[in-house]
Amino acid sequence: MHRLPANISALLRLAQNGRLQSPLRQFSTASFGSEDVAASEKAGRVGAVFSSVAPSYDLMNDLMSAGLHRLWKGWLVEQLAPFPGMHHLDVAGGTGDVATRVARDILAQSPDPEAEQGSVVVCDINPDMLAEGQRRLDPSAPEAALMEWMTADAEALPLQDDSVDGYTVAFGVRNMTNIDAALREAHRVLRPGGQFLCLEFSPRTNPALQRLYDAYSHHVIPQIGRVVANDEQSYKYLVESIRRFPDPDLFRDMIWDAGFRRVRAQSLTGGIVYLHSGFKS
Amino acid sequence: MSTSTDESPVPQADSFNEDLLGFLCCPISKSLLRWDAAHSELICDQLKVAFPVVTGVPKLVPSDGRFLPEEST
Repeated sequence: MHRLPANISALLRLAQNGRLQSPLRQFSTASFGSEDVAASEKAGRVGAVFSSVAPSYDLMNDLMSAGLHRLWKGWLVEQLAPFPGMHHLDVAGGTGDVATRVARDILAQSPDPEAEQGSVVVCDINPDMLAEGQRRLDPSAPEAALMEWMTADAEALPLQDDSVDGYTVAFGVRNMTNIDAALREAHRVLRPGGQFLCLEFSPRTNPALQRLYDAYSHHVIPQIGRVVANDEQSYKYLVESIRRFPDPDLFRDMIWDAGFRRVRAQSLTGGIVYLHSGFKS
Repeated sequence: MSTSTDESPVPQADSFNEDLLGFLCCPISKSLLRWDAAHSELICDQLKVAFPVVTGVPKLVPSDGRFLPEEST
């Protein structure tokens, strides 16, 4: 079990060139699309993918999912059940799609404009994705007042224990180097009774859909990436990363191991996507 | 009529919502952060590390931190 070193001299050993690194990265390999790379390299390569795709990311989601991602995210927010005064954390949600939905929903539930409104923190390890999200949001929109943007590593969250009421991550976990660490951090920052929700593509679906899905994802999506974003490689990565993600049953066990209870894996749209959820007891 | 001052101040480029200090912490040590407005940084005094806030956006990935030089006390 990896634990962050408690003493400063151990941290100083981990620091490179006067800059801190997430401790786990240096010691393991991770999957990057269809390749295995040193874990320390994965974060950098994933970063490059998302810096490249940021401007066209939501359009790409529309194309990859035939617009379905909007429905899935709507369902995610409905399951979250935002409430007035809620403090919510959306992780790896750089362009702010889920976060702004949550913020609007909080406001819709709030009859008293004088009461504490709550907040929605959006964090992403990639600053370009965050910048894209901020650029899109009209600063005069009511939900903008609830939004807080920051760069952060899901595996080492800069949030106090028991500080958020809800935690969402949509299509972000597969990009993470150490999923167990991200799940433990999710558990740590949620208050008791708080809900964890994760939307993720399933690596496998029923056989009838599988062949169609394979053909579409391997042949069509990278070409769309090439045409839409002039970046076939990044979209190949995005497709491949889905294949390497844990099976829904295994992922559900990982969520349990992180300490969550009432863990559920709900299949959506013929098993293409799963909504995983759990509560901090 | 005097026009020497605006009624509402223009938001600072590096404005930071200090209410966040009640939620945030150092991503490595998990200890509370201190806001240094003069340098637009969030300081972890336990590790002597500073995290920048750029145009109001805190950068709190561990590798965003810089070690503060040793001060004589």
